[in-house]
Amino acid sequence: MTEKTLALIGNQNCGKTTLFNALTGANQYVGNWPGVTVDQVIGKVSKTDWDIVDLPGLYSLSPYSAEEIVSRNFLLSDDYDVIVNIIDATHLERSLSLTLEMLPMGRPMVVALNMTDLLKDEGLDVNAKALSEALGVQVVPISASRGTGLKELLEAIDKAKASDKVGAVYPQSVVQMLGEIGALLGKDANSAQKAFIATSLLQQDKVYLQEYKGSEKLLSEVARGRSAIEREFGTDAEAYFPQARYAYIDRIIPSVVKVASKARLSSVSRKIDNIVTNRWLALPIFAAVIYVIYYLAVTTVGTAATDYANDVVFGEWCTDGANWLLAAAQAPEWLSSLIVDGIIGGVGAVLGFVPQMIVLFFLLSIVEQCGYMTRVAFVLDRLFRKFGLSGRSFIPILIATGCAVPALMSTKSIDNVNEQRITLITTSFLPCSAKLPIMTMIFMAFFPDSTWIAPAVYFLGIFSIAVTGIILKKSSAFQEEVSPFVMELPDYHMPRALNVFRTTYERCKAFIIKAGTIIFATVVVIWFLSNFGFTEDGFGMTEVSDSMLAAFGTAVAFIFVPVGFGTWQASVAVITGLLAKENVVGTLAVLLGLGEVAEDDAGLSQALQGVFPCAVAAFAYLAFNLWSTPCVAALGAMKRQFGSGRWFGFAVTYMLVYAYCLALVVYQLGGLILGQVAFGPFTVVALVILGAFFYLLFRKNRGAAGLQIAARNV
Amino acid sequence: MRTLDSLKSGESAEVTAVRGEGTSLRRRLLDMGITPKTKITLVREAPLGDPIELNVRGYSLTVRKSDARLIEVQ
Repeated sequence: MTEKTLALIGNQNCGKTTLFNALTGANQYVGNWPGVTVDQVIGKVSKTDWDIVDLPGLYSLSPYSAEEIVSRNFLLSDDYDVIVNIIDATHLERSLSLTLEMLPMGRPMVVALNMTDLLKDEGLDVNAKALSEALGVQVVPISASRGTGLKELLEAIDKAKASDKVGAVYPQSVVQMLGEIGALLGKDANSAQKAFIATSLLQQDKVYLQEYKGSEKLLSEVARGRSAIEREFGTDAEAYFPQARYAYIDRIIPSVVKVASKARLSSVSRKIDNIVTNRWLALPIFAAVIYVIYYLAVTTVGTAATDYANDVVFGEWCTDGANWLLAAAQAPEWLSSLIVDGIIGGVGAVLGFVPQMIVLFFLLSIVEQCGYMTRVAFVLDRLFRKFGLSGRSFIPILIATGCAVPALMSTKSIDNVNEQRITLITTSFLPCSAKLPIMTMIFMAFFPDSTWIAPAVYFLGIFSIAVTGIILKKSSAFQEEVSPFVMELPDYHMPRALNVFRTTYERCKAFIIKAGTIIFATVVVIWFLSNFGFTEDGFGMTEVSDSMLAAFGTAVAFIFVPVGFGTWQASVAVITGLLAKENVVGTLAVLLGLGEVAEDDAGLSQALQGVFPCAVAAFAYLAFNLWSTPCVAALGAMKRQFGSGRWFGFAVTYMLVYAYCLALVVYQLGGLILGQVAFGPFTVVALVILGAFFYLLFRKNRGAAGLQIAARNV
Repeated sequence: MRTLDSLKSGESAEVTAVRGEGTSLRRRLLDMGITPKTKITLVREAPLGDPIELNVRGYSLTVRKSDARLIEVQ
């Protein structure tokens, strides 16, 4: 068999990635969720010289989301030899629309008729031979999940040729029109581009009209074609092409599909949906599912495993082992400190989250792969849409009350990129478990008898999520053209153990590698800054109070004067809090000369009275720590999910500005009302900020950014 | 002139036209098989009243009510 590159193309949820795995044996994520494959993945077909490219699933060639554009642009390129079009035999009509759209491209193609093992349960009988004749390309019945028909599929790929049935789909006049317009596109265009661009121009595709706006001859030919279509078929050209495709499908289906008996599988799905998306039961069922996930991942199993990893594995074994080894090797003090305090302390704290993530991702992948996650979007869409979020945003936000790291990682399942970005920014706004000690510390020192202060913090968290969602939703950067909310609700099916384990493994591995490298670098830098400094004996290791970090804290402390905590100790604690929010309490205790104390220690409470001038200042400090950027581990996860430095930079800036403004308003205006802070220039600044905030919150929507993304990606 | 969002749960109708010329939403609806003469059943509304679940050409599709207003039926 000679060298070939195969392009694997199909709808979402048609078993595309399962077929890819069956052909290559590679580890690639599979999910019963539209849009799991983010980018093209290449594998080698076992026992051949063939490369196979797994492309994001798509329903048609019209560009909607960035993912679909990846697939379409690959189809238009010269980078492959054969299209392997996988279709779902149980949903033949919709699947064939894409097949028919690709036929005029003139590329060798084979159709893999998947899910044939389910046909009997669905009471259907599909005649592959008749379908093959209707399409003009070979159709091979397979079952990707059972691995049947693969040998026949490879044989068909070897002999694949372009379809000769384009003339059956569209009448001769249209085929000729497409040919004439295609010819005007110039010699550089290949057959796929000619067919696709000609169709797009006839359908008034904004991107291509813009690209060819100078070619008058071409555009007048297109205009002539459009009016000819309108005259001949009584419909506009935009609707004509999909209508013609479905008309052909309606013509061929009677000879291809025989309905043998009543459908069993889809009726099971319908029965489940009658309960799961029922008007009265949907929300209680959703709450129960969430409770089980939260209970297992955050309250019990996950936390027990993470505590064990943190306290025993990293806290005792690794630390003691490293101490013993370093002592045996007579390592210098700085090296011991770097390894034990810096690397094991910092990276260990992050890796300690892995057991919790395994539990969470395991449960989430079951929920995703069985098809329930799409129902969550269906049930909650109306509520979350108001805040620029998605029904699926609920899960990350809830998980984040335990830990933001797995929460941020789980935003992957939100397929609307605008909603995913807003979720990423707002997810860490509810206090996670590591922020609780900071809250306890401030409460004990300044609000010892208050019963309203803890609920107030959570309320402020929910408030922050809501206003951030509303403000960001209205800015044009968050109105990238995405696929409209037109979503398939796939049939339910039992998640396959192998796919669940693979998903869990892939996601955890990605976290350990990618976040691990960023975190490693950051902990070493912060360790260095907090352990080294200039003293009377020159540059060397010092206590944290003489370190470069202390010097840096002193230098930046002035920034925090307007928000009420302009002392160097408070500033340094904010910075070490970046490593892990638990550090805030420890750092403050050390810097105030108390050593290791608990967050509710009476001495600490008293010492804090000296750091913060008043209770409002302490609350502002708490607010800044809670709503500014999360810890390094969460930032690593966030950067990975954004997949772009620019977006990540925006998110970090937004969180810092938001937290600072919030702290400023709390301190200046809250203090003024309570009589703890005098009126001054910063009171005016706070009022201006408040005004700007209300403007951003209530201004009119700027309107969609149009087809910018489509234009960029072509 | 009836539009798809006015159907009751369990009610079926035949598509006569898809409006919203020149929008990606219209292209999407047509591409998903909502073409004239197609029979569509409104299976249910979401518990909060929006979006709606449709049965089109043997599969389940969900759209928002505001988007369903583009689809004219009889």
